[in-house]
Amino acid sequence: MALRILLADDEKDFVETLAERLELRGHTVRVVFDGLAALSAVAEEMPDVVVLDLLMPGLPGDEALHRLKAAQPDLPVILLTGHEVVDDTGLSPVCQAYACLTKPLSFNVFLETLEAAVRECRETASREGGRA
Amino acid sequence: MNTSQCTARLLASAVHDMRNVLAVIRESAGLAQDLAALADSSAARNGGGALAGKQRLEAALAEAQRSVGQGAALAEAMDYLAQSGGAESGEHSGPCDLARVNRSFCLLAGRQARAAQIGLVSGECSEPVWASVPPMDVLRALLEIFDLCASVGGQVQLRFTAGRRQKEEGIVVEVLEGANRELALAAMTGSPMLSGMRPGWRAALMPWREQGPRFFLSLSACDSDAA
Repeated sequence: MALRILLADDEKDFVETLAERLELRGHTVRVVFDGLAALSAVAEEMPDVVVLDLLMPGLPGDEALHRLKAAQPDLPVILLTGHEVVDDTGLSPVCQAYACLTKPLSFNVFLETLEAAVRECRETASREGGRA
Repeated sequence: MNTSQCTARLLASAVHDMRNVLAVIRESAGLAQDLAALADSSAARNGGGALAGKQRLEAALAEAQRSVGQGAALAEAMDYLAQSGGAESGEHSGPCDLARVNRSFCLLAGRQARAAQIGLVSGECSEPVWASVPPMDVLRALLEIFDLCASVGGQVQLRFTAGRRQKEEGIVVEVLEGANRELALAAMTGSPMLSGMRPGWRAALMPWREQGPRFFLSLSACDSDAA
């Protein structure tokens, strides 16, 4: 499954290398370096999945996630961050993410998570479309 | 800010950076593997493509090497933070090398600084600058100065350099550039006494006008009541 992936992370060395690996596998990747740029990129061209870092200059990832989900509830968003995300309350905006992954992680696990997020999102959309 | 809060913030920043460093190593090594796997088929198809692949492979391996160096420097700074915290709990409180404290701070706080759009630069010191102050208190004072700049919106470059002023050891603080430079200078000018020190220690951020727009962070022992 070739995906259109938006990666938002201010760690340029990391995100550009990750993008290159994804592109080698046939995916189309757009890279941005802060939360506001992620919102603009989604408004310009809808990706299949968004990957957000949490701690970014300007608009932090959790706020970007909140705004993205408000505008595009069906768009799967995955958090990929250097901080362990712990939220026992279920109230944090990060709970809107499909998954919270902590760096460094296996590339295969990352890829499987991306594909699962898009597949589930499409299946949900298809079911809801069938009911309508 | 107490010692635990200071330690927690610096460690959280350093751990975040350490994970980023490890992630870069992992992805660079993974990319190198990907390119090596593609090398044969690329060479068969296109000699120029093989050359580009080889160059990217070398760049990915160099990136992994560089990241290992970054990780080692971060680990050294985290080790120094652990030792500084341990020393504070005992009776012995110094002396410490301000140049090393300063270097460690800039490494530990690096991730937090990038998120606040603050550039942290550790000024070069040709030799150690020994001072009879607990290193944890120097770290706390530096973090407080960092917070002053973050409170005006960041977007400045800060340079900390261990040095001496009138035979007193301390840290020279400069706001080099950035959109909020004037605001940061004003915040620092209005905050001569830093508040986060332990009883018995005093930190003052004094303008050093004859040296241009820079400040001198002075740390000294005092009566507990006066701190």
